[in-house]
Amino acid sequence: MARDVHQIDEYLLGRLRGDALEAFEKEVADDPNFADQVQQRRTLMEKVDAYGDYEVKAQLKNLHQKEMKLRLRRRSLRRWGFALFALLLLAIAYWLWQPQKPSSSQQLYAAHYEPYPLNFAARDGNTERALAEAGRFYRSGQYAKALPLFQSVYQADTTESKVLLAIGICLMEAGQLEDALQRFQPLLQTDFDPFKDQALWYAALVHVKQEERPAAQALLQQIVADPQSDFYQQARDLLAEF
Amino acid sequence: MGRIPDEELIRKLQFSERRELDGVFSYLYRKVYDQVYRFVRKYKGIEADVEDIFQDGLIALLKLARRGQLAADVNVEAYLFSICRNLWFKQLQKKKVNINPDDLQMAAPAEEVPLYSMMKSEEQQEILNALQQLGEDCRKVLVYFYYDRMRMRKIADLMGYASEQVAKNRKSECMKKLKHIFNKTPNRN
Repeated sequence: MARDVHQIDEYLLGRLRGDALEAFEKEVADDPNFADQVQQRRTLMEKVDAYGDYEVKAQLKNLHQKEMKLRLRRRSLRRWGFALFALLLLAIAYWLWQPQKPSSSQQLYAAHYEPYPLNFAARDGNTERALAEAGRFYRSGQYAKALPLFQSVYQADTTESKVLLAIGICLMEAGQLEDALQRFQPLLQTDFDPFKDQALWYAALVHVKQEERPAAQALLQQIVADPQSDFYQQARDLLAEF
Repeated sequence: MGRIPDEELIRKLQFSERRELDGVFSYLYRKVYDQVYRFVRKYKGIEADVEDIFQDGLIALLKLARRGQLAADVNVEAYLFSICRNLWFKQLQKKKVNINPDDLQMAAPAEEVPLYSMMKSEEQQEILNALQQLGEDCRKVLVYFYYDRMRMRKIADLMGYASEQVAKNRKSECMKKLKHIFNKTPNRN
């Protein structure tokens, strides 16, 4: 009975080999008491083994909590990464394919405005000479000098619609937009005047510069209603840019 | 995360102390858990089942390594997955769930199922109580020897005993004590 329990352990742990193992197994087979002793030892060993499982399981449960927290953090970081990446892609896509923004009124004005080319032939008489001089100033871009001369001519003869147009354009050059509009008004109200289309066009541009697009549109519509107008295409283009 | 070579994993599983195993377990969690998750969920498992099965799989792997029963050339990650898969199939079979026979090609050896998980809760409690009564010192010696399969010399070193013989004697005393505890427990096996 006084068997070496350490040898039983070695057997149960599968460490006995060769003759020692053979002798041990023979004894187990031959001696029921010894076999019982071995069995009891095995049972105890299994209980220790089960307890070991319990300890490792507890260790793993702790670890599981930590791993799941880390996993959540990694997922959250990944999600943020994807979101940032998507945002970046969107920004690039927008930058590449952004729709043409409507131009600002000032840009439209600058793009479409240019002084109307007017010629005033020199004729006899003081008024006519003043007109010719005003015309020279006008053509050379000296609108400030041309303006008083045109005004004096117009005071002398208010039927000169061409002079009225020139005054309006000189006022536009001087930045006096409201005054320019007032000068264009008589031309706009006529049923027919050789300079009505010009007055419509320049009055429309004044409205554009003053950010009054509906008013500008109304005047431009009048121009495009007549395909024969000199300003037909320009008016269409400007309306399209609105 | 870089790959840890299988030989290193096996060596650590076989010889490292338990508290040093967290790194290996974490590594295997990150490499294999998702695979087990998908598999168990595919076969009607819930998240708690995945956790349970994966942990039992790790325990089974650890025990195989401690006993020197892992082949040196085994692919540890693939092997862990197959253990988990078989553990889950065993549970499904117990519940009489039909399984595709093709998926049942590999049957797990019986020792792969951790003993503790196989026991009824009363039996588990009995063991816990007994080992708790044993005291920390004895418990450690027995677990080191029978569960972790450590040699007496290493146990003596870890426990601070003067010699291997002291450790051996201590183990005998502790086994007697444990036997006594179980013998006086009315509901013993």
